[in-house]
Amino acid sequence: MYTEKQIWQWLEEVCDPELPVLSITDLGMVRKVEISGNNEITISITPTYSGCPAMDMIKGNIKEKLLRHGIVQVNIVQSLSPAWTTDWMTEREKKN
Amino acid sequence: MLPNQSSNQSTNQPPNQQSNKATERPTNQSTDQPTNHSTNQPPRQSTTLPINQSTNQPVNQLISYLLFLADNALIIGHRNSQWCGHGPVLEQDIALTNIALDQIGQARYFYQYAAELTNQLTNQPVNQSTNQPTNQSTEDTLAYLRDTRAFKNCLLVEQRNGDWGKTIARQFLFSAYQYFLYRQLQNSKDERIAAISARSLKETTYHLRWSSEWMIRLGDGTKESHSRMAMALDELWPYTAELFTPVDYEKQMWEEGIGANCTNLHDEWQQKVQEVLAEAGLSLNNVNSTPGGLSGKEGIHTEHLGCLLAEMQFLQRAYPDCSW
Repeated sequence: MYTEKQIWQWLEEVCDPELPVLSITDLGMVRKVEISGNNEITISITPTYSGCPAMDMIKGNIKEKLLRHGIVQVNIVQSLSPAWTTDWMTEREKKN
Repeated sequence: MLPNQSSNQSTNQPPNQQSNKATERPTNQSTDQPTNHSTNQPPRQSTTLPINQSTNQPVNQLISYLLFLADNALIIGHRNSQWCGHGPVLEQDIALTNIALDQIGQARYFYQYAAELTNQLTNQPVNQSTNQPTNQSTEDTLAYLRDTRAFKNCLLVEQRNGDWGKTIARQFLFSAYQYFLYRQLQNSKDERIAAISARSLKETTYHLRWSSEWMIRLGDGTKESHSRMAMALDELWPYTAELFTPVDYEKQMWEEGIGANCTNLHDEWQQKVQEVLAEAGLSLNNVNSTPGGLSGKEGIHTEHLGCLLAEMQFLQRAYPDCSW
């Protein structure tokens, strides 16, 4: 039904609530996108720092974005390991 | 009729009967618990952990260890957050507030893990209409509904902010400890503790650097800044001994390869602290030991924690389950 590539593209449109010019994929916050056998989608995200207050909002934004494309059931898990660093950011992101 | 709450006595909670009498609310005939008029449910309480009758300690030492880690982070995070809007200059106000946010974030991760384990262990009865456990432990119940005796933070972090120098000294002494603690814990056999610690270590590395620089700036500063730092060290030093005195759950976690070793920590910490104090031109005149009879890690705190919690927990306790 949906490809991993398609979902990554949609996730590129989800932005950091505090700095809307940055997307969560460019920030390196999206770790993994998995589609299981029965079309269950699991997205693994990681916080930039422990106290990041935007995580709940980002989860909500991801769900909303995918819902707009017809995906109703999506599991979002937080992955802490390996820990996020600025190395995870793309070059485009760093220029911003 | 709801199944009985665990009949084991907790050292940490007052018996239910006493709090019922204080509020004099009508009781639910079948559960003997006071009812909340709007939800008709017994008020949410911090979950009583099952206790080993002979040692009087929580059955699950891992939960105690997690609470110890979480409480440390929450209390110092809360203390630092009290500076928000009151910092000496804007940049440092923001720096310390960000540090507080890091610490509260760390606390949240440990509380979430502790809550999950507590729920698994205590097998909560389920509310028939919502299908949710009736007395579920969450990061919020752990932070806002436990009283001083249940908190396992060390005495150092609950000390009052005092002036900027005292806050810096407290942060430095504690960050040095947390740095070496997380460095050990990132190799914990418990994967989740290892992950949280690896994440936290990156932030604590900065906290240590920031507070070290301020120790030097103030210690090797003016006559006044120097004397304030000397006074701060005098006041806080007695509380550092506790950091390296392991209590039961720490010993057990170390044996299981999950927790850190206090003695190793002490050597590394001592070295770092002496290095920075030397550069700051500060020395230790007063090598008191921990005030007698107190053990924050075991719930026996200074008077300051009570006041801190009264303020921090007031809203949640006055308006249980309040939401935006």
